[in-house]
Amino acid sequence: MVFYLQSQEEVSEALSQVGYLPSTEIATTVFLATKLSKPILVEGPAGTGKTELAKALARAFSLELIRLQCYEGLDESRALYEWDYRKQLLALQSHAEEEVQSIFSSEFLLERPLLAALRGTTEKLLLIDEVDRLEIETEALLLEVLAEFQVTVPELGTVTATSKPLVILTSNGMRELSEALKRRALYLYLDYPSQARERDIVCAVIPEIEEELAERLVAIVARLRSLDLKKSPSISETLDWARSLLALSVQALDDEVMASTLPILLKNRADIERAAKELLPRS
Amino acid sequence: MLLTTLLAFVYALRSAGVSLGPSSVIDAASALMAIDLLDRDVVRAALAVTLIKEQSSLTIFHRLFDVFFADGSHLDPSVEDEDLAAAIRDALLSEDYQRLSELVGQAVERFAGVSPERPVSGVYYAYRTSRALDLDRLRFELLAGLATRQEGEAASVFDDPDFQASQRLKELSQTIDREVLSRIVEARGAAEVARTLGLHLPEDVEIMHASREELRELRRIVTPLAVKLTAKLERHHRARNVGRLDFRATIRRSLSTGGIPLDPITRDDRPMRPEVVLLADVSGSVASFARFTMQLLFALSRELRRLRSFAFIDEVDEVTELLAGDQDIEAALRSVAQSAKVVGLVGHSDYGATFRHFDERYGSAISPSTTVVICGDARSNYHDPEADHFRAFAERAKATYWLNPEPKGYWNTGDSALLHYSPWCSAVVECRTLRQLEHFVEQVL
Repeated sequence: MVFYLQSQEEVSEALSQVGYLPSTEIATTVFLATKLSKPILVEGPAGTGKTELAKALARAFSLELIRLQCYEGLDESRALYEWDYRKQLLALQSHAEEEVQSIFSSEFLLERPLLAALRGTTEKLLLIDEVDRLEIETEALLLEVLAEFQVTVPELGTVTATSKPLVILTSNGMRELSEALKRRALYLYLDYPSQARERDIVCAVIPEIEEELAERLVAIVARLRSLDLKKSPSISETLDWARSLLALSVQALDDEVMASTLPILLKNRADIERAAKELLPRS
Repeated sequence: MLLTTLLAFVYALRSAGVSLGPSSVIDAASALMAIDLLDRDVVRAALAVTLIKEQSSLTIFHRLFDVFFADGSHLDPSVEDEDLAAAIRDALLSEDYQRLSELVGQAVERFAGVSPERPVSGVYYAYRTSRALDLDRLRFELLAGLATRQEGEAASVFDDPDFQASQRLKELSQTIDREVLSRIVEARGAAEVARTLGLHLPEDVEIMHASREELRELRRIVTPLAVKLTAKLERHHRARNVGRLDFRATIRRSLSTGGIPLDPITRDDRPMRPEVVLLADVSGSVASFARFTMQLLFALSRELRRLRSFAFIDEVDEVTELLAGDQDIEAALRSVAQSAKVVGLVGHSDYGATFRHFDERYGSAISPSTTVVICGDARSNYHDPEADHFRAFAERAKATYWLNPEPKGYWNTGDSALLHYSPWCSAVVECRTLRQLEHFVEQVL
């Protein structure tokens, strides 16, 4: 691994400086990932800062961020590498026949994210986003990269990482990931933050906000989350809400403001009705 | 020493049902080498990310972590008895949880009277501690404290001090549990205490005997479970779709290319999406089981060709419409309890009458392509089983499965009428836990 950290506190500090407040658990996990050279598998509900963690890490340690967005049907040629056949054809046509042997060399290789993360000299962070969208068979593509930090190209041989990248996988838990993948990674479950931490996050991201307002804001969000809704408000929605309250220069959070801004927090009609019914006074 | 504790901890996790391979243990050990062992939160995090690979195991992990890596008691003797409750209240108000655990530790020391000889569980000590602290008064004072802090601001019902107070009291009772636990561990040893806690993964909890806390946990995991099952079934259905070679069509196509079969045609094996009729006993004894079955099947209905649900006690009523409404499943299940006509003359389970009514009124729901799923304990309160009616529709259906939430040993004892029905069932399946239910769905659908 590329950077030599001494303790999880250094991770905490570096992340805080770029505006991401990590819990002890997050900082420890990142620290261990660098120590044990293991990828981190981050799972949790949508909007709890999984992708944001990767971006913040890249900013904090000035790593080059390489992102692989997963989807159903992703295959080798889009995740790992592909031969640039047009270039190969051109080479065959323009050169004499003795050159034919060399069309399978690295200059004809098109790098896709996984290979790109291993080659080159800069320090990198590989983000494999929403890995639960892959079919279970395609998951196997990732295993070699995750465990050995290498890719085997049959025509070329094995490409080993010159400097090992920090790897972060995210998953929304749409399906059970394979044992093989889980075993190779550190498993970090990101739940909704505690009220105190969420308040700190709001204050860090939106410095203009008064601490008292932030405090009441996160208390309300926590209450909404306890309601067992279809989609609980996420951290990013809390932030959106705080921003809009500032933009509207709201001083007091009364019932009227609540009723009119509720759609910022809840995106589902049934949820909004439910929250309004349970929380607003019956008039 | 550290390694011994780690291994004992791993053993306890495994006996609670958490699957944990040797490579995770090696990772955990090397993680412990890399971190600052004096910071308990860091140790907790390091072990959690290396040992645990599933969210549902995390609750058990944290309980057991508190047992095996108990916090050394650091007491603050400066606080007098009378002040203890007040100090705890202040700690709760200012959300100073470090201080809270010190104070609670002291309260446990003082009020619980932990004695190593008595093999009682921690519940008793926790009860004594909270009684001495007078939680009702504490709640009252918390409310007052929270209210004064908000004075002067336009209050909204949304930040209800009531909710805040109960959140903090929950924190308090968790802290009491933790502190009590750490003291019992001191007295009786971690492995011993871990055994008596009797922890299970939520999937392995027996639904019929689950506590309210456990039921809430179960409700939380049913929907994600259904999502995962849907994905699995979808893949299953699609995989079969690859099909075999359709020889005739391939030959005919090959005529256009001079008899050379350039483009082989496969026969699409159209996957049979099953058509399911669910009959669920919603009487008191098995209600929670029926509830989870309905919830799971409803969440899966995208993968079924058709799903009709019926609820019964001694009268049967169709609840398909109620479940399919726009409202969320929780509300739907409540309305099943309220508005479905499931109670007839007697009001306790009568399987015979139910099957007669079902056969007469809804018999047409069952065709040779229907899979019938019945869930209930077949405890019919000694009424006439009327197996003929059951036989009539069971024989017509493609398959009939009986899911019984009772342990196998209890079947056909007492008023259980299972004996009269089982000959006409394709299978009678013991279904005591969510895991067994999941397994059944995966096998049959």
